[in-house]
Amino acid sequence: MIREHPSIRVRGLSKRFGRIEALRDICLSVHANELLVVLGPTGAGKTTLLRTIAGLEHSDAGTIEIGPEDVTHASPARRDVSLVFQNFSLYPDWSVRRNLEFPLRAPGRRETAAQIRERVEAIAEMLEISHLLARRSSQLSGGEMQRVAIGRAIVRRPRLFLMDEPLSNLDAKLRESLRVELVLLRRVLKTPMIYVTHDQAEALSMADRIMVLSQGQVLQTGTPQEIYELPASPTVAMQLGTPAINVLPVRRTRSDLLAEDGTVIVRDAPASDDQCEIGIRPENIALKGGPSTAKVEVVEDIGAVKIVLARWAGRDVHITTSSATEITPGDKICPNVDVSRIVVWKARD
Amino acid sequence: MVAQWAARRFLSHVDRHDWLHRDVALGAVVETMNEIVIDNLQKTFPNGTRAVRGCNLKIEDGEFLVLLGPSGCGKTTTLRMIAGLEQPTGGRVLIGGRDVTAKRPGERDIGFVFQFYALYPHLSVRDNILFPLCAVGVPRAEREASLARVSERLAIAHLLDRKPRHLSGGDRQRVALGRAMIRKPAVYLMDEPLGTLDAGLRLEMREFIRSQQLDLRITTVYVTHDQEEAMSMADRIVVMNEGRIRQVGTPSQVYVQPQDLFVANFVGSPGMNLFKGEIAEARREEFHPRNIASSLPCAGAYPPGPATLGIRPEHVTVNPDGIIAGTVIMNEYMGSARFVHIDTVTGRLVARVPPDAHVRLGDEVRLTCDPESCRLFDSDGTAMSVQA
Repeated sequence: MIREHPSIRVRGLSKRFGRIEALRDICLSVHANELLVVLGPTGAGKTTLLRTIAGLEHSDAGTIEIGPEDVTHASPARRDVSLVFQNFSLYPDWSVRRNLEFPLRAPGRRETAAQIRERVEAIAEMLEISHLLARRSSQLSGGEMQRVAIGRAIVRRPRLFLMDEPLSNLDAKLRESLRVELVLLRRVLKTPMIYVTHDQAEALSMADRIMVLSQGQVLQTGTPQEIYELPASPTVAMQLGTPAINVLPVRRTRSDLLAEDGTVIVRDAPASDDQCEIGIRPENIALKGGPSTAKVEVVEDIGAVKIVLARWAGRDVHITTSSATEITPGDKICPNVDVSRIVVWKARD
Repeated sequence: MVAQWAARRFLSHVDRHDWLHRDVALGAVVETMNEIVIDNLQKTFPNGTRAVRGCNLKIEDGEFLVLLGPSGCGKTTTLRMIAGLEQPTGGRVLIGGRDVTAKRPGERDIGFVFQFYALYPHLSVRDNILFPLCAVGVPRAEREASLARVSERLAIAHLLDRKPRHLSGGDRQRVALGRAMIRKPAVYLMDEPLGTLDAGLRLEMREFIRSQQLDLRITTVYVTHDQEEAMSMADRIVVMNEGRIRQVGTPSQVYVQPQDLFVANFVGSPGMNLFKGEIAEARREEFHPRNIASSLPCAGAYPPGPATLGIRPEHVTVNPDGIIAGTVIMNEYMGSARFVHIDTVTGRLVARVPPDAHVRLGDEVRLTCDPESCRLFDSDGTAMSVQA
């Protein structure tokens, strides 16, 4: 039933639009049963990358292989990939069933009417949209439409799924449940997927590996945990985690790390250069026992945790703490950093 | 009250947009109280859709109130009726004690911030931001002071002479927000102003809007479908669904003591775990989950009958002595925590565990729930309180 799925390999992919370098020397691979998330802000080149892999854009340099086959110059149809967009792109006047059947009725496909029917109904059941098959797609809610769009992408069992922010037009709550469903679904289908998003929560929770893209370049590739705990640069570090990681330039005096204004940030720090930049995640700072004091400015209780914004060493620093902690603006605290979890980078020039 | 708005009406002839300043000058004579009252507000659209089905709400002067709910719950329609962009089919809107139901939007002294902004391409950033003030003739010195305040806050002071087309998307949004917030109207109404922004920028803008509002204390009604945005910004949250208000409360009240199953599930990311079962007549201090032989202790006695137990993911622990057994089907790493999704005989549960917890896909685990943190709902889905 399930076909062997080849892996995807992209080497040295570059693409220009006039003077803008949209993609610069991109290398990536996706293993046969893997979900790769491409994470980056608007304008990073994420969509161009997907469109190039799908064959909707031509690259200026580089190769794209799907399994053993070089598809760099192949037509989109020849590549046998499915692309799901942010804006559902269904035929509004067609029924859900007809929308789902459409990819199977494409020229060159050989499924019989009975096979098509069976396939569509199986997919509809998997996505819990069986009761909607007769409805016109213009009469669906946003969540239902995106389910149908996903159904249309998977119904013909492509070699690769490409997803371009498929959930970002949906309500936050719906996005949360669909992302779980999508991961479970992909696991059943065993088809590789490249998933593009600017949402760090989506990236962390869904990815087998994350590739961080910025200004057309790959900054780092790794498992969510690797990228979250050992980000290669402050730019990568800032992409993941909410609230964002605290980044501080520091200088070293013996084993202490001091902020620009001389405040002691950490005692007994691990080895580092005399001048460096450190990253401290908000959850790795305790509120007492530290070597210097800070003043609490804002406290946000978001339910499971409280987010404290404190003024420390002349900077605004975010700290997360248990929602049971009693803390109010104006309080004095002694931030105590978990030394084993700080990230150290070379000082920026 | 009457004297207050008579004075205000007098002032509005002088300069509508300068109330806040003049109020200080006149001291006790005019005290601007811009509370908003909506009284049995209803809206049925010509096609028969009942978008808002009788809402009552009092928004205090200076309060930051968030209307939270899924698409189609009536939150935007409610906001648009407060703004005067939509005419109610029933009920009243009062701003500062004055019935404005029949007033046009321009007569309500409202600053409206939409999800999609447009900047004037031929004007510099400075002129774009100052536009709302120039239009009503605010003195130059005051305009410059307001511009300095807003542009410093938004970190766009170095961009003031540029044209919008030379700005990045994020900077453009900042300018648009600056333009919306340079005026000091009686009330700000915001309809998902951060909806289209990148996640990182959204967080930053959220802090900007909130700190700005805390400084100026302008009554604000803010619409969103994002519960995290609501939790972090609001003084009070109004949860809406299907045209009705389901609960009004502080973020922590709504989170800890949801009044019904809808609120329990909608607030929180992920929402409350809910599982069905019953409370036996004989043992009212225990909840019997469906399909499970043993029972869970509760924090007190509850009325007997079919019930639903709600528990937040952070109060579910993976524990070899737990009475609920299940299989890990998804292990979401979120950086500062891990959400473990577990299929059990009584339904799917999510537990929030530390990021370095040793839980793997396919593991068979047992779970316990903290009795103090359980919330019980009756067969209608309404929260029950502990019986004396």
